[in-house]
Amino acid sequence: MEEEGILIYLVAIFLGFLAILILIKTSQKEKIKMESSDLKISEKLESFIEETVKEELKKFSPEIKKKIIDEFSKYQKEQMDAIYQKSLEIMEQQREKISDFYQKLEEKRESFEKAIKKETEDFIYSLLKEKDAISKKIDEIHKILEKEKDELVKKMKTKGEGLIEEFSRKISHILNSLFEEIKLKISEKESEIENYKKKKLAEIDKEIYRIIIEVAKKTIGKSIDITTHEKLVMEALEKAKEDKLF
Amino acid sequence: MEKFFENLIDKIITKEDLVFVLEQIEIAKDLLFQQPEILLSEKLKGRVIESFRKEIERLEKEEYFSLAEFSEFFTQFKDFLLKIPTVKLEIAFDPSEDFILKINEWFKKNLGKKVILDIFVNPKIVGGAKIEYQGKWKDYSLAKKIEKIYE
Repeated sequence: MEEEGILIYLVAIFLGFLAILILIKTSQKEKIKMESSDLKISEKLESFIEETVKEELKKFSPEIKKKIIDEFSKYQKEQMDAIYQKSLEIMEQQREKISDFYQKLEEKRESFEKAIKKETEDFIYSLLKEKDAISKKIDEIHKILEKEKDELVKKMKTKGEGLIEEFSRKISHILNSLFEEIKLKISEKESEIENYKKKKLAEIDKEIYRIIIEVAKKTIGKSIDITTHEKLVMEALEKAKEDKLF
Repeated sequence: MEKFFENLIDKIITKEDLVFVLEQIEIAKDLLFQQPEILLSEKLKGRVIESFRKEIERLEKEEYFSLAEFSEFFTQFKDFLLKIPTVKLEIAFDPSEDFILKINEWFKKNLGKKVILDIFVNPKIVGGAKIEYQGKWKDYSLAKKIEKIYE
């Protein structure tokens, strides 16, 4: 497939070349025609050339084809070898570069580790140096605080005792007034209860009388016959006359 | 006319009787000038009580009352009835007609004049009566006597 393509390509180049030749020839012919009619190329010659070219082309076509393919295969192989070789070289170069890079990186790492180690050691050393001073300072502060604590506790105790005494006095005062108030309230409430009791008893008495009266009225009312009723009405009229109501 | 008054007034004892008679008068007054060619006593047939109608008939026959005289008569009669004094009696039982007549007679005998009885039944007064006459009021009930005992 690839070979066929190359062949078509070469034939096309050849035909193009031939066309260019024909054009050049035509151009020259026109030029010569313009300059001198003696220099004209005959049509016969032209067709002869064409025929010759065609025959030669037919004769040499398979050979050219083979040769071209061989040449191309050879060229291709050479190119492939060259590319492979070049790739190997590049790979080798890259490998070397990577190796160098790793080596440098390792060196850097070691150097960095050393620096860190040194810095750490220096820092620990300085800390150890400071430690004593700090310990001393802490001891001093501790002593001061102890002293102040004692003083503070003493002050607090004094103040607290005063406050407790004051507080007790106030509480006692409040409680006393509260007891007085409660006593007064109790007394008032007792009086209110007594009045309420009297009032309620009076109401109950009144209610009892009312019930007794109602019962008496109903009992008497039911026990009176019509004749007695009529008699009572007539007596009422007589009494009204006596009282000068009429 | 006075005779007419006496005849009718004797039958008016209670307030209910009075209201009834006043209604009869109104009916008679309404019919008086309707169909003047017909006698009033005729027009009143079946519309008022017979005793009232008979009295009208008597006036027509004996006194020859004209329509205008009847009109004047009804007005005077109504005014007369409304001026009769009323005695209010509150009693504990429902009175019989005989007892009402007895009371009426008592008032005639003891007061010497006609009164209208306004009777109100209230069993709560137990017995006796509460009496009101011309703005004065007295309680002669048994209920009051019982209450006095417990006071």
